[in-house]
Amino acid sequence: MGFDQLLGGLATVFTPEHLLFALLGCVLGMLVGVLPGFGPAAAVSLLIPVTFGLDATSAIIMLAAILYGAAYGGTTTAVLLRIPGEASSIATTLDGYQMAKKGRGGPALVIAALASFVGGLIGVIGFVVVAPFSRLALEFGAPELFLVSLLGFALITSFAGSNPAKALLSAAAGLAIATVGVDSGVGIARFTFDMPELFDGLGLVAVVMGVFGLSEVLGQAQKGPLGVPSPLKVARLLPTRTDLQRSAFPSLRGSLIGFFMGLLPGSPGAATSLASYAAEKRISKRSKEFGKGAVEGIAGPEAANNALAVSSMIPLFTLGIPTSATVAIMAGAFTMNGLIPGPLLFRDNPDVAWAIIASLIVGNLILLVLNVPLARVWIAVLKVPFHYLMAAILAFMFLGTYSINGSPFDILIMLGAGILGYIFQLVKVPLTPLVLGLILGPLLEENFQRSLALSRGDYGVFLEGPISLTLIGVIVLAILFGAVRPLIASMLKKKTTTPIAPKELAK
Amino acid sequence: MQTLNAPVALEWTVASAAVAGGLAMAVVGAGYGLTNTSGVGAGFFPTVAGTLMALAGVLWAIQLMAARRTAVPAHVTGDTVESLPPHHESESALVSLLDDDNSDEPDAPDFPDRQGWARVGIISGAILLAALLLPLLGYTIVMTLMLGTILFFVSKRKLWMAILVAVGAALASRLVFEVWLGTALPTASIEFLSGLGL
Repeated sequence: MGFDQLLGGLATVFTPEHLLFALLGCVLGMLVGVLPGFGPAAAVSLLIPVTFGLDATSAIIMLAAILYGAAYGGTTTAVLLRIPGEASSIATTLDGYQMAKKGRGGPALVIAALASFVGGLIGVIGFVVVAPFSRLALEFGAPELFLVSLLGFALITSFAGSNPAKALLSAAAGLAIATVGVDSGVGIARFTFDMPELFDGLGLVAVVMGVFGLSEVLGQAQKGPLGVPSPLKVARLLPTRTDLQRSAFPSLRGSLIGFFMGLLPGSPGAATSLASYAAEKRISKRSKEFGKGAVEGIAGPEAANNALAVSSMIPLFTLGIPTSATVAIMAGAFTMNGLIPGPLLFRDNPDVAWAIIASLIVGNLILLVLNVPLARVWIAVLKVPFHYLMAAILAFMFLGTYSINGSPFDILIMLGAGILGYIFQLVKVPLTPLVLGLILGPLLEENFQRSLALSRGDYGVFLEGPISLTLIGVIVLAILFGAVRPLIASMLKKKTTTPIAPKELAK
Repeated sequence: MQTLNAPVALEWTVASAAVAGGLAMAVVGAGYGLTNTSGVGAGFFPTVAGTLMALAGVLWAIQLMAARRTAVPAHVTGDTVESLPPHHESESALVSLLDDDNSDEPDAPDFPDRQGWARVGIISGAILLAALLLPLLGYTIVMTLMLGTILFFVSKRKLWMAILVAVGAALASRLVFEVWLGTALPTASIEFLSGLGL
């Protein structure tokens, strides 16, 4: 088992330099995470330029901390403002805000942080148990790697959004963007229009920052000058002993739900945390308290959310396949720092791999300590009128994109991607498949070309062996299930959903 | 004949653009060569991507046509358009996992009115001009103009306040990047301005 390596990773992280970057990442992530609409994907894409110039380990440790910081920031606004910073905090708004309304915002935040820490810790333990299986993936040849990439792609496209045609369009757009530049196989310049700036393709950071960052700013700005939100007070900080007792088992159950759901590519955090909420409500003896400030309704979903955040990295570390937009952006960050996400990471850079896994614990520990004391700071940030925050974000994006290559061309790419992301949001085209297409496109193409080069053009290479056949079977199932999923969901929903009063949420 | 409302018209526009763009991409991509001696050519994946894009656009257009045929205008049924909560709470964990409304996608912004489009246009235009003028006017002037424009026209701040905040932000960010992070920011290529240190 990899617990020795984990200890080694912890030793690497516990250096003043790495701890500082983890701390900085947590604070910056929380700062961006509390901004309305900015979830982990937007936060990581926005802050990638901050890590330019750092060594690979420090950069990834900082980005992982930003990711968690943003998730915690989203929880703070969910509890105090009833604004989920990200979709997976929606379950927390149900009881967290009610607790805050009763003057128990502090305990709600502490419970959320403790449950998140438990979720993160269980996620890491599971990670350590599963990590050795990455050796199996080392046996994969180019055809299997192509099929695994295709599987990830099929699962995400099948699960993203409610409309398969729109998800397919988004994924195809990502693939199309990925084909710009000089082809790696034969060296032909594709869609470059003789512009040298396009020979290396459209920069990942610029595209991601536009799609997730600028599109969000445009979406907010269209509303015009906004009022300042009025968050509830944190008041008393510490939870009671009863609160802790009541949240212990929900945290554990939520962690397990989140961990296993995170292993399945395409399972979104929002659905997982709501599933944990539904499970707790069903199990609890105090089910009538749910929606009125039950700590179980915070502990379960928050633990599930964080365990999922950790376990969703497992497919990336073991197979090199990102399974969500946030993990895809992390995969891009790995590549930018010269690291190849996947089983080769454990073989070629085990120190870095285990340091990153260990940093997940350290990051959660830092956030556990910082979450509540800093809540008041974030409330002060939220009192800054949004138009000034927007100006600061735009200036940061402009500078950050420019600093990628010291070229204004990247700013134009970011702008184009931002407008595309904004239009896609308006017509409800999901953005996750686009980013996955962008990241998985080159992998698909490279392994496809290599497979056919090895088999001398024989397409039968993808049907050889039990692994390939199993993968093809799962891909077909994923596509079929994705197509019928909306139907199943609506049928089940009709039977089981108790309508939640719109006024309850609109209050 | 029914007239299209703005959101549906935009859906038609994007679906049509997907079909046209996808087909163009597939045709140009095929020109790079679909095969070569070692297997597939440089044009194979662009052709696949373009074809998928066009296919998605066609499927979407079919859905839009079907929706138009079955749609019953709200005024006929007497329904009022309500602002429903974007996410539902369900009693069942399984439904929560399968429900489309529980995806991690950002909530779609409301469809903008004319002023909303103008705000989006001003921000996009300001960024576009700033990027194009950056080599000519240098960072400090470009950032001041970009932020000043956005704060005045989009955020509706008073002119003096917009200028003050824009100048402050431009100088502060220049200080942070150049002095603390050691990243050189472009200066103006116009001699007079570069002589002033801008």
